[in-house]
Amino acid sequence: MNIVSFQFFIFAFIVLALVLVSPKRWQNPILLGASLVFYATWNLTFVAILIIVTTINFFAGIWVKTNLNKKLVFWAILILNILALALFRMLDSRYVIQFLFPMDMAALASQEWVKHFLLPVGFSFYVLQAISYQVDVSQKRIEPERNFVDFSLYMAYFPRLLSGPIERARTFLPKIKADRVIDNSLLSRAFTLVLVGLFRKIVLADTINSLLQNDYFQTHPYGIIGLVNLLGYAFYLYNDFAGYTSIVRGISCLFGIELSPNFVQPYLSRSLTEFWARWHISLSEWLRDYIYFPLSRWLLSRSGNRRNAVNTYLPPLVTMMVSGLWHGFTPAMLFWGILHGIYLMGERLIFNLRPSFRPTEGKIWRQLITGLITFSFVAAAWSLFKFGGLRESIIWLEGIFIHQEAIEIKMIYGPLLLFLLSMFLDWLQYHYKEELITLKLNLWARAGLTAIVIISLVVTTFLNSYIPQPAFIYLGF
Amino acid sequence: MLSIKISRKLFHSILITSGMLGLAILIGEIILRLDYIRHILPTPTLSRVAMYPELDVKWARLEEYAKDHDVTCFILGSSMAESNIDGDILADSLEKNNGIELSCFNFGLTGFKLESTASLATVLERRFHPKYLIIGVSAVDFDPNSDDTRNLSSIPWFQTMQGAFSVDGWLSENSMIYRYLSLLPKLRDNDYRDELKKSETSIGPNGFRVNLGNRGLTGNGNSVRLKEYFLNPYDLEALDKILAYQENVEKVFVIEMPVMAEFLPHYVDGGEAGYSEKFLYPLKLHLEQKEIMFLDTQKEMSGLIPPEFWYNENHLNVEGANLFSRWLADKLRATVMGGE
Repeated sequence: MNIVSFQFFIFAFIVLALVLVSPKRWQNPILLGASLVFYATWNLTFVAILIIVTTINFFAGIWVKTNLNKKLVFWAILILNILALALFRMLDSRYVIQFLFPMDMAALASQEWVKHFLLPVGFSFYVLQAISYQVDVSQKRIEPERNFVDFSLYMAYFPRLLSGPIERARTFLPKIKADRVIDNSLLSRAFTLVLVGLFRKIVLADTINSLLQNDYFQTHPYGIIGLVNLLGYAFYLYNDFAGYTSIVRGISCLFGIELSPNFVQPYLSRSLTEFWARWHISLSEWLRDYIYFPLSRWLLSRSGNRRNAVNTYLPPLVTMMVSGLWHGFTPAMLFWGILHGIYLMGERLIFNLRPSFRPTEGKIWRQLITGLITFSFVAAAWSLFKFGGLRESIIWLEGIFIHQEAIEIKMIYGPLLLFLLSMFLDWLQYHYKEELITLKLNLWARAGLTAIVIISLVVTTFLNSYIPQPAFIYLGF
Repeated sequence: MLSIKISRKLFHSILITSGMLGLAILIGEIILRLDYIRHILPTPTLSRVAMYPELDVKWARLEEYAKDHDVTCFILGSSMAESNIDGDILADSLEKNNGIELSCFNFGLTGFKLESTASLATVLERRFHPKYLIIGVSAVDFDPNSDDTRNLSSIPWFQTMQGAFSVDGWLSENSMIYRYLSLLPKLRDNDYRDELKKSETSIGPNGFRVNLGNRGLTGNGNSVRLKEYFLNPYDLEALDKILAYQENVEKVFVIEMPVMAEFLPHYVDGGEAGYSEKFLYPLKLHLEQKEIMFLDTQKEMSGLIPPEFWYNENHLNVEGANLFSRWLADKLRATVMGGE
């Protein structure tokens, strides 16, 4: 069941109605049952794998707390989770399959039906939740959860099951245990989140994607057309994922559970460090808390708590490499991670040498320039996402600098308009310091804006109806 | 515990938003119905999926035509009927010489087989209650080896207009906004845009398609156009369905559409004899059994039409259509309507 489908919205409202009419003790079990039913619409095997991972982590959490060999249990479950994640990632990588298996096995493992059977959608998201839970329990940040239903709901909660946001047990579990009231403000918030998400997904992402599928963009990978194509991917990826996140947060709001925001206008960032604080925040924070900080602390302790080049520059590189591998066990993803690691190292080096270069301070034109530089670096790195190979990515980037005469300039008007619309939406959210700016408007203005958004959704749905759209890019992770 | 506590204010918001949406739809429907707007916008479509702009243009022309005329006669068939019979000339000629008042709209459509024409006849009969149906037929209309346009009659609009309701079909018929929304994805297809423009420029207000110039024989001159030919039983059945309207309308005429004399030997396998044996005589016989008047024009007309009056081997150009329409009017007056 796709998130952007009538079936999903009807499903969500049926579940909401069922939860509302049920007594308190049945509400979370119903929500869990609904989550498993939702997951089963993708594949029954996925449900089985989810139940196994959940059960093992539930009992391991209790054992970590009560067992005499706490450390042993902790490391065992940690390694098990990491191995499981690595194994599924490897199965998803043709490079690894070809390297590890004989040819006939590799061919079998590359079959779509095998992948469909073995690679659960959302696996890499809920395993990260399991790892963070085990670390938090072992470090006594939280008590182990003793209610199996609540813990399972933490792992399987359907609005976030497919592609996050990656929640922490210490913030999520209290929410599902608390008394929650759906009132006017929560409903308005839920509805607005869904509407903004649909706008980003359908009006911006899908339309950009459909425009760039035009043969002209595929056959003219040079100059400004090549550049617009690359920028198009950057805006497509952002609006697709931000749209998804907004929709699932809106749906979750209906159940009185606020999910973490994943995006805070990332393309308005003025440095790479700032970008990673605004892009896929739940993953960035997970990597920060469970890779970057522990590694930094460990390196610092090894150097007697003195800053040196290794403990300053290595942690961002390693963290971004892990991020790359989490996205896929492919050379392109690994290189994407290394590239962002190098970006962060270089940026840190420059800021350490010249503190006045920090873009958060200084004049507006300087902030604009650093913003543009940051966006250029990010967009160039997305080429590895787009083309899936280092060579293809370099060829494309080189092509941008090749001058091409007699281009059909009108072809870029549509994509450019949508880029501006996307940036304008970001600017509004940034300027008003409110993700859901319509909530600041009066009743009539809000109703008018809502009507306009609904009309634009209908128009673009028709406009793009002949062009197949992928469900969501991040479903692939 | 999850509970709900909402106040009336929320329903006000929903009501105002719904009201604004309703108002926007109403304004949109009014604007898109304005003549000025319709003339500057491309012709909207009746189907979300079918890539056949000619039907859309024809229907739009008919809706315009019906505003000023009481449509009493329809010319149906394929592109040959569409470009060979000018309803205005036919009506003028009949009125001038015999005082028969007609408003004839040509709803011939390129590639239409009798099977689709029967569905169209049902739609037109239900909506406009015409007095006369003129069916222009040619061998190609019964070709069993061509399926190009057969699925057109299954589009929701056609089905709804024939009494099988669907939301899609109902919206296509009643909402201009829906028609234009359905057109949006099609406009992204260059071929569709070209085809739409061609139809818009060549189809006149009375549905008659104007072919200008003379392209002569096209294609491979010596190869047979319709191989392994026989009268498709589905199309014959469909023809019977149209003929059954004789009970509702005053008269149904079936007219043979002529082709260029040089092309006739290559039209149906077996040459001229094959044309007569496989198409003309069986059809004539079939119609005689149903007591339907059939006007065979090939023998008489091929000698009367000069070569420069042909657009190509099986379509007349505008001069040829003028000549043929006047000739047809004379024939109809003398042989069919003469007694009225």
